[in-house]
Amino acid sequence: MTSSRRDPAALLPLTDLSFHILLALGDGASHGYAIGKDVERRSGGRLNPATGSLYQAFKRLREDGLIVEAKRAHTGERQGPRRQYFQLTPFGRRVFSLEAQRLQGLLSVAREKKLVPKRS
Amino acid sequence: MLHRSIIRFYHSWLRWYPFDFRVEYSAGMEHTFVERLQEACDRRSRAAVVTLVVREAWNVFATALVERVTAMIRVMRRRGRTSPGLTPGNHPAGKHWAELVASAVQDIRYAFRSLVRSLGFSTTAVLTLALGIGANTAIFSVVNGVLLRPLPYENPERLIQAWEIEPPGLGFGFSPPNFVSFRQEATLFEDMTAFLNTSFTLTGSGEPERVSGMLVSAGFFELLGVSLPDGRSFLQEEDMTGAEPVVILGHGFWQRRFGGNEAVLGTAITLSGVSRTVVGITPPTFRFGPGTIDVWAPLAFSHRDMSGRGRHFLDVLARLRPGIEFDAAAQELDAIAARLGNAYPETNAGWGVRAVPLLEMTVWRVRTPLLVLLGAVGFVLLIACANVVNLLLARAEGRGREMAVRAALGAGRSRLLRLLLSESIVLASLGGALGLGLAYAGVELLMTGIGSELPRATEVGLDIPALAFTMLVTLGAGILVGSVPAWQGARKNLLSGLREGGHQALQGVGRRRIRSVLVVAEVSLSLVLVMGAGLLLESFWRLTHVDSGFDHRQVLTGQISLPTSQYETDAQRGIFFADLVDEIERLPGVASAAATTGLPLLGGRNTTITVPGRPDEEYRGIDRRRITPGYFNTMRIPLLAGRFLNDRDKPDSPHVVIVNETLARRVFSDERAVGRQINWGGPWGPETLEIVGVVADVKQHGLDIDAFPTMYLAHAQIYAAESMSLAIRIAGDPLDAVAAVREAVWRLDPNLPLYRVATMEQVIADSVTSERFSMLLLGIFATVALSLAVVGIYGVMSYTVCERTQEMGVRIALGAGRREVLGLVIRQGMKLAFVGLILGIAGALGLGRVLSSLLYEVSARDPWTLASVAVLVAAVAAVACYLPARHAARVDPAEALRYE
Repeated sequence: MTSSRRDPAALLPLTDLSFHILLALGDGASHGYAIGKDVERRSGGRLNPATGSLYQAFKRLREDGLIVEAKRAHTGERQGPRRQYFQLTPFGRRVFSLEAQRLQGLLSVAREKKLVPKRS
Repeated sequence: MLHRSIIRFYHSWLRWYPFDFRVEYSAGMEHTFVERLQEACDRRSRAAVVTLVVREAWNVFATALVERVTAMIRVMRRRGRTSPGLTPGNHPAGKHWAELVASAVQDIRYAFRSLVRSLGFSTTAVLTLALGIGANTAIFSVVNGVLLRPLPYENPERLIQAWEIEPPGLGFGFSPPNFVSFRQEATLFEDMTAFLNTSFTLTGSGEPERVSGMLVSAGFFELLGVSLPDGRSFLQEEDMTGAEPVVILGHGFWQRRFGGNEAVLGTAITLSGVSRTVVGITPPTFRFGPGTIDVWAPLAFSHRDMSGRGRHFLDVLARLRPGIEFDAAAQELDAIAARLGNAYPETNAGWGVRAVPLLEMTVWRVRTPLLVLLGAVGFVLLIACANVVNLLLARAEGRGREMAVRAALGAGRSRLLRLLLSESIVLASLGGALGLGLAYAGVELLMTGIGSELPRATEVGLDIPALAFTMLVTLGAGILVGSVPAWQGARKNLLSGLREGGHQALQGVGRRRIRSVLVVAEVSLSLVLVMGAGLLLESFWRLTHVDSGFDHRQVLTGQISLPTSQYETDAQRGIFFADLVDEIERLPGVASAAATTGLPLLGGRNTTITVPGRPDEEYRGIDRRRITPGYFNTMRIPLLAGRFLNDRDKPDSPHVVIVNETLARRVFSDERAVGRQINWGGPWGPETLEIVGVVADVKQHGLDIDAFPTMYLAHAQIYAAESMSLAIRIAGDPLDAVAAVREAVWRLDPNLPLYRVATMEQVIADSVTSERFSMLLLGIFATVALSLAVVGIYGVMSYTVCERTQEMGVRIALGAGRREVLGLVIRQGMKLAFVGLILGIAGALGLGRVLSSLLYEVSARDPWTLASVAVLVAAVAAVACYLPARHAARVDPAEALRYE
């Protein structure tokens, strides 16, 4: 079954790390180091995955069809191991948006119950 | 440079991942890692680099493990689906698992058969593992029962114990009025209860008996969440002064004294002259605090108790309200203490409260020794495993042909690996089973040895967690010892075994290297253990040879408590003890006798003094003891200035005091203390005492604790105590005089038991029981470790010599002297031992920190101990190398060459 035919809701809820990775890829393709930094910054330091955990998450997200490896021309900027870029798939975007809606729904319920302050 | 080696390390470390994962992601991961490393290096902090590398390496290992398991499961499922010959009703995955189990059973059966065939090898390996696993299980049982298991009360995590502290950090009990204030003001606690250890004299039927007791506030049992199956707990009104006296019997005492007869409920027993109605019996499993409590009585505060906030003697137990954090509760106690300090500055200024979870309070003294022992047995197990690995390697060598034949007949590599692993796991399981037996005996032995010294000793046993631990250790040991030879075997081209012949099949540099690693590991691990044992031995020697300040030889001690119902006044009590001392001194063989409120080493009460003319200075933490005149003579405590107490120090003569050297120095520095005065807030109000003598310091609180400033008051002059210890110097064996002393007591009062009878030597020995036991146990484990290491080194060297028999033969044939061959082999072994020594010394220095809290006047890095231990281990290693070397030197060249 290809990802486009799969039900995106079946993948919800996303793990915290997956959510942040998808969020980091929202602006376009990026590589492991930058994604890791982004996740750490956006989560306020709460999430700081080591390289192994980060790539394990990439692998899962790829297998689920949420991201793909992005083809980038080797710029020859420096010697050493090549950078590996990832980008969101349309299916990944759909899953992410569903997850965001789900969270928003939860938040509204919490607001109604006055468990969190209303937005000013 | 370092940068590059770290990257190289990371590159090769990524090999933990399955192949597919590596192909996809290793380049990207490496790039990310390099960037992160660069970032850490830019921060110019070595710690940041080390943290990064350790974290990343561990993370790779952990995630790789998950990936490998996932990949394995996927492969199994795929195979299950494609496997031919499946009937439609058969679930593929289920079928596959069934096959797997069947083949595992087959492997295990085969492993058993093959182990039975080489019985010598199997027995050695099983015994070695049993020793390691047994020691681990035994110590783990103790650690689990004492440190890990929750206390046997309701929601024990919410129980705390508290005491008041004064500025230098000295802890005291609560004073009754303070306790009442805290109990009223604290809001984060469900309840607070006070308790106090005591003892009673049981009279009425048979010989008078001293029984251990505890006085507790009314809500004590409810606070712990303990309900009494027989009878009831104390009622609120029963802990008031003037209430009907009642008592709850401890289960053990009830069984022992009343034969478990429930008719005792509602009857009265006489405790220290007071008739008390028995209202309840504790449940059989109920324990509180160290030791057994025979009777529980309500704790009522007398008018005198409530009259001053300065007398601190209550222990306090409290239960947090649900959901309240410990820190918040501690802060509330601090705040109350501060308020009381302001309200009652004279008695409470500067006093604080320290609260500790009850579990921590119960076990703090034994936590470090137990964890050290657990670490030590871990080392013993590792050494045992190293020995078994060596045995398995040697065995694998002999089985090269067998493995090759199996491979030729179609057994895959993973099948052979499984076979080898099954063998080692079967070995470990047998070792584990036998180890469990050893552990059972070991725990019994441990409890006989230190049961009385160990908190929660009754909760120690081989229970489910201990069994689970044994299984885990057994499995771990099995995989550990099996994986090395299996991995070695798998790296070889198995078919070469057929071509080259069984004997030569699996030789190689790799295997030799593993053997070298084993020797190095055994030497270093055993050095660390022997060093630990050496340090504890040295510390123990110093502790028991420290100058206690008195002569403990030929002194008998015992305790007498007078019931206040009969001995109501000071004068009555004063006269009784004076008469008793006279009576005892008249006994044949008694050189001198005295009574004191506190024998050395057993602790004592603290008080505060001031000096006339120095209104602003208070001297706190002064140890006070009341004595009869002959005390210093009996204990042979030297007089440094002035005079001892004598019979002329009567209640109506000026009140005098003798101080120790530390007090004289602290309060009067270089001035002469004799003739000076001190003020003391005595039991009947402030008193001024004249110092008439200065005596040498005595260790009052333990051999490892320096003398406190101490004052000795004349028992005849100041508030004669109800309970005193006797010290009797005897010409012969002190224990021979016990019966005569007891009769002397009974001549004065036939209802008084003489209890806690012991020689002063026993008192000293008892004060260091836990130190002695830590030392003995670590000593035993170190000896076991060293013996295993000797066997291990001997085994490796013998094997090496055996392997090189031909070479030795050739050398000797070519004219090498026996001495040279001997040297050659010893040098080879000692080179490895030397590397082990260096690593072991590094390890011992690194781990010394852990031991330092257990050591008395020895540094954890004591160079002499380290040097002697290194020499000892080196010598032992040399012996282990010498025997195979001698064998090598005796090789007959003709014989050796014939095999060529």
